[in-house]
Amino acid sequence: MLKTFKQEHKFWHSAVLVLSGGMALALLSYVCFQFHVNPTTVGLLFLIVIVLVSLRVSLLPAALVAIVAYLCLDYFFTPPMFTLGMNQTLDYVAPITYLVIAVVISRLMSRVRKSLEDQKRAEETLRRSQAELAHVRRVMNMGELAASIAHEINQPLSAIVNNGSACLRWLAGDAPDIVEAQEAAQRIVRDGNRAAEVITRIRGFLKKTESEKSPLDINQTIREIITVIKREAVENGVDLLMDLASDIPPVLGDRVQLQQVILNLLMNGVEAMTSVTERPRRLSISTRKHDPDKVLVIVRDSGSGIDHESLEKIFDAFYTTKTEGMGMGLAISRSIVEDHGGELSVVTENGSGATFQFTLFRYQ
Amino acid sequence: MQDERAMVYVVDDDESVRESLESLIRSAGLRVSAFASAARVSGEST
Repeated sequence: MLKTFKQEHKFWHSAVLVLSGGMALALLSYVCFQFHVNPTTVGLLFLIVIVLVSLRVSLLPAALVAIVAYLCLDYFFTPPMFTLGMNQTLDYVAPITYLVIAVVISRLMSRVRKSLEDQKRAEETLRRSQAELAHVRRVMNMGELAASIAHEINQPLSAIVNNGSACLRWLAGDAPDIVEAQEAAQRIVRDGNRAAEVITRIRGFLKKTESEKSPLDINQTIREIITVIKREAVENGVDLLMDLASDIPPVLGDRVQLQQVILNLLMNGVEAMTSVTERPRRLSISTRKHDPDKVLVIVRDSGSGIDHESLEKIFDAFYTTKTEGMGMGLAISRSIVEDHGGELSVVTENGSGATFQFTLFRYQ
Repeated sequence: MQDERAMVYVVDDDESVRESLESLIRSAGLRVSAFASAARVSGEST
């Protein structure tokens, strides 16, 4: 359906151009005829028309204009007048020149147009795969992290439970074995510490993700990440609005980490609106100057908002309201923002969406 | 004199888990022998 429409559109486009070419030739013929311009000059003037038309149309229409131009030249300008026939050198040279030029230019242009289209398509594909990659990487990191946490913590936990049961058994009965019970209790302490160590290590790992802070145009940073989420938004029927203040000073930050935070907030926004049908799904991101030395980034969705109970926990690790979420996104986002000296907070009104905002310090 | 109590073999690669199970099984009045891998169990019994 789209293809026929496109072809039809192309046909009319060519027809209009060929007609304009024809009219230009007629006008030129009329003017030159009135002023008795010599045939060679007319032949060159016609060439201009042929070149201009060939630039815009395909092979056949270009050849058509070339033939019409030759017929005009032969009929009105080369003697004997008002007859068609091969009487002069120009009668041979003109049609050959016209056709060769029409063919060469229209072919060249179609090649140029095709390579431009290819390039555009390649860029689109690249952008799409980048977005997918970013998503996959996010999910993968979370998944790997979850698996390793589960395993590393599960071992000491089951040891603690076993030791606890053993300790109780050693103490029970008529002849409790205090020494065995003590040993079991000592192992409980040891394994509890081991579990805590694992947690500390994971915290360190989350923080470690090599923050490299440099002066940063936060608006540009946002624009870059918007291209990644655009498709996700379109597919979910979400209007993406950008309202980036122009008087924003550069901030000090790690580009990749901040993009991770922004992407996370935007993705959450998109996901929060999947069930919204009775009003427009609107996701906006804006930047504002805040205090003399801070910049504010605001992400607002028109989802169903966050209830009071969840509100207290949404920044906790492993807390999630999504069926497929890990509950790490906001926890990591908050730790990144805090690592930048800023604050990540949320305002919500039930039924009218949620607004997440964070501050960053300007670069001085 | 032969010990009449049953013998439980524990195989677990995690030392903490292994130790805790040993203690728990002993507290139930059974004999226990723990190994880090199945290969070590067969090495022990032959």
